[in-house]
Amino acid sequence: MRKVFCVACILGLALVLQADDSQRLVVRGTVTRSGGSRPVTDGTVELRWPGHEDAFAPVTTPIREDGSYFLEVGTDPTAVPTRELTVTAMGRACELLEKPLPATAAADGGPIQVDFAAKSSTLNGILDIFHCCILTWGILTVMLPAFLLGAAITAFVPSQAVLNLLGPQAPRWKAYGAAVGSGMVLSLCSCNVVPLFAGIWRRGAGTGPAFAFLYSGPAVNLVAIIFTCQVIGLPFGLYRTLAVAVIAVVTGVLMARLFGEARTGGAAGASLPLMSFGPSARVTGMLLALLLYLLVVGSFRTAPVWRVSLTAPAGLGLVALAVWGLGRANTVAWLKEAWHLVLLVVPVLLPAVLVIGLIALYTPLTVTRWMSGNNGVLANLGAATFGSLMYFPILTEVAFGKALLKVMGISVGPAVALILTAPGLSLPGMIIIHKEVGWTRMLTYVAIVTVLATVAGMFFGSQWGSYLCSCAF
Amino acid sequence: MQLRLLTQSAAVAVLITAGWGCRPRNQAQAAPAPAPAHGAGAKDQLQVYAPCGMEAPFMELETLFEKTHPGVDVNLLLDNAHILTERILDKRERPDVVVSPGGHELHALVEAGLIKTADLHPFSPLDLCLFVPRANTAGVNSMEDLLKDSVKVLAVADPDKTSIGHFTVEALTKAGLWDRLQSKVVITGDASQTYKHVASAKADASFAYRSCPLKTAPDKLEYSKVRVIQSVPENLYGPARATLAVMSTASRRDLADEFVKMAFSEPGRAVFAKFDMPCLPEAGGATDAAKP
Repeated sequence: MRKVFCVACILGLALVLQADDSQRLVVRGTVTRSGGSRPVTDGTVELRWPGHEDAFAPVTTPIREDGSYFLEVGTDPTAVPTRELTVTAMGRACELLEKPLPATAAADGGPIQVDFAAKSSTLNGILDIFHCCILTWGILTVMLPAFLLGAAITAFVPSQAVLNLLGPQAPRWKAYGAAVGSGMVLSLCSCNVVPLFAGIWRRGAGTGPAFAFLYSGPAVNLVAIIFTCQVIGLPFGLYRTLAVAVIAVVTGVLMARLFGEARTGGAAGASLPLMSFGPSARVTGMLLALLLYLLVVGSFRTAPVWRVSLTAPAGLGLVALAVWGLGRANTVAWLKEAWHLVLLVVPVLLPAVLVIGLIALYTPLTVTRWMSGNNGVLANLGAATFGSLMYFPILTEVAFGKALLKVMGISVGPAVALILTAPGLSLPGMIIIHKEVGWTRMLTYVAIVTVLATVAGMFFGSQWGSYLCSCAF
Repeated sequence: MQLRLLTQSAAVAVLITAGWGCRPRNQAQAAPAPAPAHGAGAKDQLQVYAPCGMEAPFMELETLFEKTHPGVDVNLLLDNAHILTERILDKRERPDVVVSPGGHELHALVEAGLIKTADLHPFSPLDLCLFVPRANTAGVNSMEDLLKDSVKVLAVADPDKTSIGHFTVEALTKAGLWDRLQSKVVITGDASQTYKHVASAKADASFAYRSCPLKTAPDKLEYSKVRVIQSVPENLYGPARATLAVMSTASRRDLADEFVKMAFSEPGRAVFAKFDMPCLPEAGGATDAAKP
């Protein structure tokens, strides 16, 4: 009996000694809100071995009312490397914050202090989507010159001459060229292209160029193209420009074949009066070159010192050109046009971005899964049709496309198809257009653009592969 | 005249802006490195295509190889493995060495005669695991839990294009779950997209290799937002092996072989081990396991 007792004692002692081999980790600290000492009073703190939660079960503890927490756990250093453990604060309405256990943890043996300053997560989920491309200070250095460039072209390039080229008497290549290029010159958005189209249609513009203009006007808006490059990526912006030009011309040619090129009635052949205005071509050219330079340099991801060094001389040159080259009247006209563009875009874009972010965050993936990992006809046609029916205020189609790509993970092809139809077509626009051209022409036009955008989306999707946001992985 | 000049200026402005002003910032989307240059003083070029999920070890191997081969410049192109395969097949790009997680992506290259089976080198076993958003609000604790009503979306990488998707479908099918999960499955273009969906809690669960990219490209992942639930039993899939292959069309076969040799030397193995990708003892010689 005594022997048995002795053996039991020895075994018990061995077990205790073995238990002593395991390391006791004591982690404590506080969780406060960043930018102050206000404690986070609701939430949990978790100790885990990232990537090995099935081997080492995470240990959690609640955050106390004063923001403090206390964790105690026994670990086997041979099985769980202490240096790979992390502590995470998960406070209510706070961003999740994870920190590695300090390197001294294993050596000290005493309590390990890990404090957290957690950021509030209000709106952060929404803002996160666009923090790399739209809601960043970097966008100012690109979009500000873009607005000024767009305004300079609108203010100083005689748009009447461009629009007059759309008439039935104009050579075909000139008419289509003007139709495609006019969007860039006129800085149109999807809402103001319709009345302009109605105007040139009533004056007897050729069927083909008129419809080419109707589509490409808002779709190749200079600001929108630059915005696409900035927000989604250079190849998307480039492809958008090219695809819009091709779709516009093909649509125009098809419409002319189906309904006849020359039209009579109304004020056929009437031209807008040409007005001589603006500075000389040399001054305008210098202005455009300087703005272009600022735009290019503004897009560089360089240190602020370099940015200032590269942009300051051009900025001074711009001021000098405005004062001595353009003259007061032209400068005022140019800045007014820029302000008009900003007012047209920004008050709509910023709330729209938040709404798009909100929709993207709370829409289940199952809603868009037919466009996810799928570059087929139906996915592209569906996206193009959606884009042609929905009304997208200027530039919002880009933010919408970005959210679909980044958050919903749709394929590149459908996103491009949507971006190609969204600016030029909308249900409200169709209703107004049908009053001018009739149901047959209007529906044919919508069908042609939608099909061509589908093809363009499929082509780009097949060439590009998957989309990776610069900030996402 | 003025109109023409201004129109031309505007056109040039836009083209230059588009071309220079908004450059891509994603290495994965960058153009491939230029063709080998052969001239006085020019370094020999070795083109290596590797999955972006293995960025960290292959960046180190690149440095290691260039250090031991001073006259060689390794051009490492990182992208999703199936994108790399498509570039080789569709765009006729011809790297010297290709790496793939799981080997499935290399199947098409073997079929196209661009890689000989003998040149496939499976080198590290990959552990397929089930992972969920950090909060795990759907309460997933095992593969069977995916059938719960609380699980609304299961993100799966394209099984036709990616090895991770291929093995996921294989495992779920063998477990008798795949057909019953169809209404919840969202197929994504690539593995990183599935990871992103889980990290943002848009998906309730997905599958990934434990070490790739969770350990091999940590800078690209928001790992704090996910947690691993379990390893998928090995009898349900695979074997999944990270595979390195020398292209039959390699312009510098000697350098490509040198690269493979270096990758499986002691220093090379140490690099892989550092990122939780321990090399198989037999790595360096082709085996049947490599065959797709």
